[in-house]
Amino acid sequence: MNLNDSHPAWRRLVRAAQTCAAPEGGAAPFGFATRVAAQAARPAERGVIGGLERISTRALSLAGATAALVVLLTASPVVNALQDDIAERGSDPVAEVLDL
Amino acid sequence: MVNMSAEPDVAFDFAGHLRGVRAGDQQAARELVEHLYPLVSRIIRARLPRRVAEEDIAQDVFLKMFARLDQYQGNVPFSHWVSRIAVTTCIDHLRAQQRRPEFRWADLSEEEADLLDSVLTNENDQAPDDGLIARELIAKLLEQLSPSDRLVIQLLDLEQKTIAEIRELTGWNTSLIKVRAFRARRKLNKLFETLKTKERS
Repeated sequence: MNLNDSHPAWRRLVRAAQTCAAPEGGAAPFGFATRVAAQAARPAERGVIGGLERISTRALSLAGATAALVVLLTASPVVNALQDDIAERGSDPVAEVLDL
Repeated sequence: MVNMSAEPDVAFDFAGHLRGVRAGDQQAARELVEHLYPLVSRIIRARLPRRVAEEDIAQDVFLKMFARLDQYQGNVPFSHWVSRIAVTTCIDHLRAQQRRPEFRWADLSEEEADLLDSVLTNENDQAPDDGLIARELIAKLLEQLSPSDRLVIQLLDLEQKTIAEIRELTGWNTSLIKVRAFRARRKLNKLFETLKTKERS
């Protein structure tokens, strides 16, 4: 896998680009290191945000699990109530429509 | 050009500074940032277009470095570890940018268009001599590739890195690097063929 596998135009461009020096890295702007070091060393704030993030993820999982549990617990009574309702009326709407 | 092996790891006391940072020493953190800034800035300048705010990306890199300091095991030199963070941050930044839908002659400066004309039509394999314009033109052409494919082709062709070096810098395996290089070359070939057929306005 080398440059010779490439399009001739790409090869020419790359060779031309290699004649000029690659970009050099510059020194940190004034105050940059102080600002970044101070920002990185904010354990209290990071701790609070991190804590809230952890709590919110757990709360979301718990809410989802609770919702699923509620659906499971209430599904059966709701279905039974519907069936009772149909039985009480003594008629099946589909059968009535189709005159069975 | 990222030359990780040329980093003055021996001259700078990384271990001492890392101990200081872990103990909450602000001075050690500042010195670490100041020492690593040229390396990080070089990676950003080589990977991202000039319009991108270098300082913002560098800040992002250093904050990630401090946040993940506990994950550094010491298996590789610290500057290599930071280089990888810088490279992945650049890729993330490129992914977040919207890609241009199409490469157009009209987006090029007069010099860039002349150079592109010259490399497309020149039958002999002679390289044009304007390196700086070539770099600008290459940056515009590479914007057509996905960030990962762009990175691989930059490292292979422009920085002449080996697959092993790219593996170390990116954490990708050999097959993935080769697939990305193949895909990038195919896309560039297609782009050059399209440009050849299009009229220069």
